[in-house]
Amino acid sequence: MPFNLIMDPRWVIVVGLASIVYGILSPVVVSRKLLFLAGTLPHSALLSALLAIITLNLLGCPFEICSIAFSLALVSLVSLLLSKGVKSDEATAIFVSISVSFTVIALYYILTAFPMETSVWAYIIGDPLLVTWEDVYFMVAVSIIIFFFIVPFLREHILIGVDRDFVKLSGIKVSLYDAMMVASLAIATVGLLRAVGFVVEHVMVLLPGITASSLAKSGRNAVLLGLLLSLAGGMIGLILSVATGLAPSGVIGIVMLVFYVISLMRR
Amino acid sequence: MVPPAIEVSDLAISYGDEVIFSRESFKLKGYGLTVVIGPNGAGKTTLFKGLLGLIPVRGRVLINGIDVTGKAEEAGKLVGYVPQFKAEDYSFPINVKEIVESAIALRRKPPRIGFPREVRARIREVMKMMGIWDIRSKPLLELSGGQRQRVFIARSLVWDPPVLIMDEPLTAVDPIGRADLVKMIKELAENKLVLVSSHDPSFFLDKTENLMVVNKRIVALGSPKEVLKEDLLSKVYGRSVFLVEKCVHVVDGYAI
Repeated sequence: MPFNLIMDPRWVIVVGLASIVYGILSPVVVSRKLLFLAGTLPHSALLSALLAIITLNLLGCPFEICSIAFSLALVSLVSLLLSKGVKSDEATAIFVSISVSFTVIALYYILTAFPMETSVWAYIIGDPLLVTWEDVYFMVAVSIIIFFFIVPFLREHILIGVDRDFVKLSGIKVSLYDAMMVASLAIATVGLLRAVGFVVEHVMVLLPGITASSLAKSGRNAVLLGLLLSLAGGMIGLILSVATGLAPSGVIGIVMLVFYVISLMRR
Repeated sequence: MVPPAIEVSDLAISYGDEVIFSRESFKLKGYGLTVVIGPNGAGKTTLFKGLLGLIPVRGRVLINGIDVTGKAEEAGKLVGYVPQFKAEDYSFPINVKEIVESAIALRRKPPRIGFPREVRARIREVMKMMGIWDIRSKPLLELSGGQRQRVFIARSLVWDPPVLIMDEPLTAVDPIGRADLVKMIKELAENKLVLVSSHDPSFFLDKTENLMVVNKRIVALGSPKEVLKEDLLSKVYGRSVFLVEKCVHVVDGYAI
C-alpha cells in the first residue's frame, strides 16, 4: 500500500471548500427538516452535470453555467410538486424516479456519443485529486454564492425551521428565504459534485448536521459544531486517502460516519 | 392609550372543500380575557391562524383598527402569539435564550447580529419575570411543559404587544405548572387583550371577560354566565357535558 503525504494545494482547497459549504448547509438542512429534499439533490446534481456535458459537446454551452441552470430547474420541479400539495415522501419518490431514469439515458448517451472526450467517473465517485485550477475557481465562486445566501441569514434560516409561523409574524418574507435555501442547495450540490461525488454528497449534506444537532445544546453550537465536524471530516479523510491511496470521497464519508457513530454512543 | 380591539367581519376559512368558518363576525374590545373553547377539531387553532393572517381567509380582520386580513407581518406587529407546542418542531437543539431573543432579533434589520444594551436588559427582565432566566441555556426539549409555555409567553411579551393569542397553553402542563400559568395569564389580561383557547374554561372562569364557543362556526360569544349553559354546550359537546350541582363542567377527554 502506498504511503505518501505530499499534498497539492488544489486538493486542500476543494476539500476545504466543500467541507465548509456542506458544514454550513447541513445544520440548516436539519433545522429546516429538508432532509428529504437534500437526499434527492445529489440525484439532480448528477443529472444536471450529465446534461451540461451533453450541451457542452453539442452546443458549446459552458459547463459551469449549464450545470447550475439545469440543477436550479430540476430543484424547481421538486418545489413545484410540493407547492401543489404532493407529500414530501411522494415528491422525493417521483423526483428520484425521474432523475435516475434520465441519468441512465444521459450517461448512456455520453458514453456512446463522446467516449473519448469525457470522463463522468469524477461526478459519480468524486475525485478532488483530479481537479484543475479551473475547477478550483468554479468551486470558489460556488462557495462565495452559498456564503452570501446563507451565512448572513443563519438565524432566520434556523428559526424558520423551528417555528415558521412565528417568523412570518415577525415580518420576515419566509418564501424568499425558502427560495434562497433551495437555490443554495441546488448550486452547492452541482458545483461541488466533482470534488465530492454523487455517492458521498448524500453523506456530506446530511451527516454533519444530524451529528451536530444530536450533540449540541443550542442552535448556535449546532451550527458551529456542524461546520467543525464537516471540516474535520473532510481534512482527516483527505489525509487518510492520500496516505492510503484509497478514494478520497469514500474515506471522507467513512470519517463522517465514524463521527456520527461516536455521537450516537454519547447520547 | 387606546384599548386594544379585534374586529372580525364576514370571516370565512376553508381547507380545500371543507368550510371551517363561514361569514363569522364578532368584536372584542378592551383589556381582559376571552377564552375560546370547543371540542378537538372544532377550529380553535384555525380561527387563531385566520386572525393572524397565517392562513388564507375571506372577510375582514381589524386589530386596533388596522386591517391585517391575510397579512401575518401586519398582525405580528400588534399580536403576540403563543402556539401549541409540537415536539417535532423543536428537534433541532435551540435553547431558551435563543427563542426569547428571536422575538427581537427578527424584528431588526439584517444583519441581525448582537443587541444594544437596552434590548439585552429587556430580554433579561422578561426572562426573569417569567422565571426562565436560570434555565436560559437549556434546549427547549429538555424543559417541562410548564417551563416551555413560559418560554413562549416570554417570547411574545418581550416586545410588549397589546394583544396576546395563546393556543392551548395548558396542554401537557403538570397541575402545579398549570396553576402558575393560569395565574400569569390572568395577570397579563389586566393590561392586554388576551385570547386563550382551552379544553376546560373552569381554570380561567373568575377572570373570563368573554367565552367563545367554537365548533366549525362561532356557536356563542358572551359572558360566562350567558354561555355556560347545559343546553348550549350539549349541542357542541354532546354527552361530554354534565352538571355538578350548580357548576357546568366540560370533560371531552382533553381537559385533564
